[in-house]
This record gives sequence, C-alpha cells and structure tokens, in this order.
Amino acid sequence: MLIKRKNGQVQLGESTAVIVVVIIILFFGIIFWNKINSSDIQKINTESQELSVIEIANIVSELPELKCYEVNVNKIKCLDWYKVLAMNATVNSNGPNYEFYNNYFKNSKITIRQIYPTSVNITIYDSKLSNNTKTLLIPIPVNIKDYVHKTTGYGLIIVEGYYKG
Amino acid sequence: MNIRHNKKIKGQIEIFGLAVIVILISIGFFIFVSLKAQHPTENPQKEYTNDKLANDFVLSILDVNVKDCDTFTLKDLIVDCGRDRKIDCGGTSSCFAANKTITDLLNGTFMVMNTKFRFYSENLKDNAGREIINITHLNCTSNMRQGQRGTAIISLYPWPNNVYLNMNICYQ
Repeated sequence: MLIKRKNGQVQLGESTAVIVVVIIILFFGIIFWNKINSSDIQKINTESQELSVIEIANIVSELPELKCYEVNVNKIKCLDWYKVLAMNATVNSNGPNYEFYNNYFKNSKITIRQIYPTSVNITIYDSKLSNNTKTLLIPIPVNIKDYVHKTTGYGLIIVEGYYKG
Repeated sequence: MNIRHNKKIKGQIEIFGLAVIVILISIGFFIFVSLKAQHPTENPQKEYTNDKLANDFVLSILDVNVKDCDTFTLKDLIVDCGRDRKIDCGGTSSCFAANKTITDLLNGTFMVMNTKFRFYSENLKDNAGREIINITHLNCTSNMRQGQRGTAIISLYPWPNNVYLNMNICYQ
C-alpha cells in the first residue's frame, strides 16, 4: 500500500516536472519569436519607405516637364535647363501647382544640382517636413542641356525622401 | 525480478536517448533561426545607388561640352586622345583636358559624398604605356566588395580598338 502510494507520488512529480519544463520552453520560444518578428517588421517598414523614395527618383528623371526633347527622340537622362527654371517658378509659386505635384513627390525634397560647367543648385520641390524625420538621399547623374547657348552640362537630380525612422 | 529490473534500465536508456535527440534538434533550430536573423541584407537605397550611379555617371559625362573648348564634348576629346591627339584645348592636349574634366565631374559627384570609387580607362595609354585616366578615391581597389561596374565603350573608328571608361563603386 505504502509502495503504491510512493510510486504515485513519483509519477505525479515527474508529470509536474515535464509540465514545468514545457512551460519554460514555450515561454522562451514566445519571447524569441516576438523579438525576431518585431525586427522583421521594422526592416520591412524601412525597406518599403526606401523603395517609395526610389520610385519618386525614377518619376523625376522621366518627367516630361523636365526632360530634353530632340526631334521627337527622347534623350535618356537629360534635363532641359530652361524647363528646370520654369518648373521651379511654377511649383514654388504657392498656387495649386504645388498641390498637383504633391501627389507625385509626396514627402520629399527635389533638387537639381548643376555641377559642370558651373555650380548651381535649384530646389524645385520641398515638402518641408523636418521635425522627427530621417532623410534618404538618392542622386541621379544627368546631362543638363542649355538649348540657347547650345551646350551640354552635367548635374545631379537629388531626391531626399523624408520618413519617420 | 531481474528481468523486470533489466526492462526498467532499458526503458530509462531509451528515454535518455530520446531526450538527447530532442535537445540536439532544439539547439540546431535555435542556431539556424539566430543565424538567419543576423544575416546582413543590403538596404534598397544602397543597392540602387551603388548599381545605378556608376552606369548613369559614365554614360552622362560623355556628352558634356568641355569648358576650355566647348565645341568639343568629352567623348570627342577621348576619341582624339586615343587617335592622333590633334585637338588643342586652351593650350593643353585633349588627353590632359579629358582627364581634368573627368576629375572635376568626379569631385562634384562622388568625392563630396565620400563615396569610395575607382575610375579608369582601358586602351588609352600615354607614351610610357600607362593608362592616362586612373582615379581612385578612399582606397577603392579591385579586391574590395564592389557594386555593379559602369562601362562606356568609345569606338576609335576608323582607327582600330575601342576605349573603355570604367567606373567601380566600392561598398562602404
């Protein structure tokens, strides 16, 4: 009778120990899974924000409002300097044009930087979100054509994307 | 009694073996997941910048009109430099003017951004047999991890050979 009782106690102890071990493993497993999952979500979020800035950079370099046109042939990666000046005046005049381009450029700052032959910076769009935001910078090399003086210069389209980090 | 005792020992050994297997599988799983979580991935901005910037730069600079002889493009100067070097560019040779212009363009684009790069020509040699254009910034060598290489092929026709302009950007 006493031996049977002792056996039962041992079995109960074993069961309890197994349950405790399983609970501990589950607990650590959940903590570990959560840690990996949260870092993955943050990474995906940052990546999608970076991709949206790259998308804006691609839109800007292909905008008909800025691109060169020569006898119906589109020159790749080429901006017309006078179109750049016109767009700067149009977008920054605080009219409805800014709202129109806001749909395309969203939270970003777009600067055309002529590097050669002279150094000139023109900001054609700026959403001016500077508080609590990080910026991501994408430079795109382009030719800048001056059709009046018939010269070709070199510059960069600089797209700075603002996003919450 | 003896048979019962033997059976008990056998059972204990089996359970012990099973426990060892479970522990080994768990450790393996944890190591696998940890390594996967720590594996470094390039962010899209770095990939885009390193891959596209080199190619776009090399293609854009060829059409640029050179300051001291603005009837010629950089491509004209490189072709002349690869052929018989007849063009005079404000008192300097086409090779010197091309090299100086490329240095100015690289300075305004990559040096200001502290980007590691190597820009060099192939088949454009000086009298000593060295490549005329060979510009390196922040020790970017061919041994370092590099993004896509941008190359422009310039034909010297009717002369034989092509000149190659190469732009390599090293990862930071």
